[in-house]
Amino acid sequence: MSADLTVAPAQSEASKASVEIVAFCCFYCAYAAADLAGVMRLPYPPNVKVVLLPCTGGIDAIYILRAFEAGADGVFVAGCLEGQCHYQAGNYHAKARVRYLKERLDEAGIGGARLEMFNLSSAQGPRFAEIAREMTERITALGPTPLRRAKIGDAP
Amino acid sequence: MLRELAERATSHPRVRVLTGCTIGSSHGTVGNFETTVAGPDGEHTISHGVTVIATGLQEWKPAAYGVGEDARVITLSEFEARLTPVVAPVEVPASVVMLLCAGPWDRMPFYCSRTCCAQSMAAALAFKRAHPEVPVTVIAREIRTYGTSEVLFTQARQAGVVVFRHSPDEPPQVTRTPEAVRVTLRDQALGEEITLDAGLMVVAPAQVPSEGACGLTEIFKVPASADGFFLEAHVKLRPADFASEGLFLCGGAHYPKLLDEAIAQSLASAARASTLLWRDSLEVGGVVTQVDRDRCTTCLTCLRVCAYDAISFDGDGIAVVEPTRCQGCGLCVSVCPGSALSLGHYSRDQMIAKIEALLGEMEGARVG
Repeated sequence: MSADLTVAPAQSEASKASVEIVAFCCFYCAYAAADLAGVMRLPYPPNVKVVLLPCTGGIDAIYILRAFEAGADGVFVAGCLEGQCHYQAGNYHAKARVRYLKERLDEAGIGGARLEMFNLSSAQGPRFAEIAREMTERITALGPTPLRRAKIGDAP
Repeated sequence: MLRELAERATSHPRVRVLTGCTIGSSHGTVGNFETTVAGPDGEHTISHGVTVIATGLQEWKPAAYGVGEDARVITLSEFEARLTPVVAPVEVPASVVMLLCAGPWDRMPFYCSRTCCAQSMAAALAFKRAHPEVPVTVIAREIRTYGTSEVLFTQARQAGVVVFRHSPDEPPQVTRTPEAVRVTLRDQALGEEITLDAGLMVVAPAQVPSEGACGLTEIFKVPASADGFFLEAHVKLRPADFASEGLFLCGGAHYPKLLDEAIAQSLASAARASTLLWRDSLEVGGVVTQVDRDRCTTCLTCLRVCAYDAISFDGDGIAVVEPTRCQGCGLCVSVCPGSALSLGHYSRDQMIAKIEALLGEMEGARVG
């Protein structure tokens, strides 16, 4: 019993502190911005894990859904600024796909708020760090994804 | 030297120099670029293997303190031009006051444009040597004569050039009357107000990217900083390359540089460009779309989304991707309803394995 008491708060504390966020970043802008954030030694929460894509337009719905399925608490897609896509209009396709998936996530009870699309240029290292913070705050407030809550037995 | 170099470039049978032109558009990839250039003699379409962006700098305009309105107030570049013996001698002023870090104040905090300190010191020294009797004063927030240009600073001081520093919060005040151009500042060392009458005032405003350079970020799809300077692929490892293949940069387009620095980078950029140009053929990267012929249903969805005209359909009505045209964005892959397409190095299996490995590892760390 006493063991449970010591474990339980630690576990919920851990789940609060370690929401996991997957960032799908395009090679030309967001990934370069993330790189720049690193070069500039800007601190941002370690909860964000970056997955590289050539272009956000190439993001398959299944990638985002599989990330949630595998236990991600939040996902964001980061592409070039609108009108400045290296591949001309890939980020608009990504925007439409993210919008569509937000609705599907709402329907599934996971919550569309856990998914977001951002646009930034390769020179915006500070903006990447800001997005990482923004998203981590948002997801921390939402708590662990229902899928993971069930998995780690945190669910009520 | 410069005139000789220009002469050699313009008369070389394999060098074409187009001036006074604007770039309309550019597309293609490394080894196969095509750029349209509109100039005074009509529009040209140029096929080229590499692109080097060297758009340089210009002094920020309109410079403050009455430059252009008052003959007694000139910019650093105008002052430098007056120092060269080629230009007809002008009247020697009674005193020279040089005002560095001269804005744009309204856009503060502004970047340090790096070259003006050394340039001003060189100009002040040259002037002082020609006219030792004329007092020369330099006013700056901070003197950054970096590297060996520190020697210039020492020499200028020894020659009698006086340097005053002011606080960034208190820019010097300039009042122009018919009698004099009066500069008032609070010197940091003395902590007192100083008033100087300038026979000639030289203003050194920031060096900014050339006009029209900012449009190139969209045309060539290359990144630039918020100040409009182009960004190299890597500060230390690829200092003359853009992140995209076949594009290079050098000189002031990158950030304000002294001549020797600009030349060094130009040589680097030329060397990098020639690593591509000497080849007879280039290998295409593996990041192109591949088609699973059994799964293609000829729905034409991929054809519609492809921005590069890389997809066509063969006699059997099956999608065919032209690898040299395909840029590897993966757009067609993500829209293909039959999953007939996959992107090299970013296949669905690879991506999913990556995502699962990433989250699986986290899961392990969390539970353990």
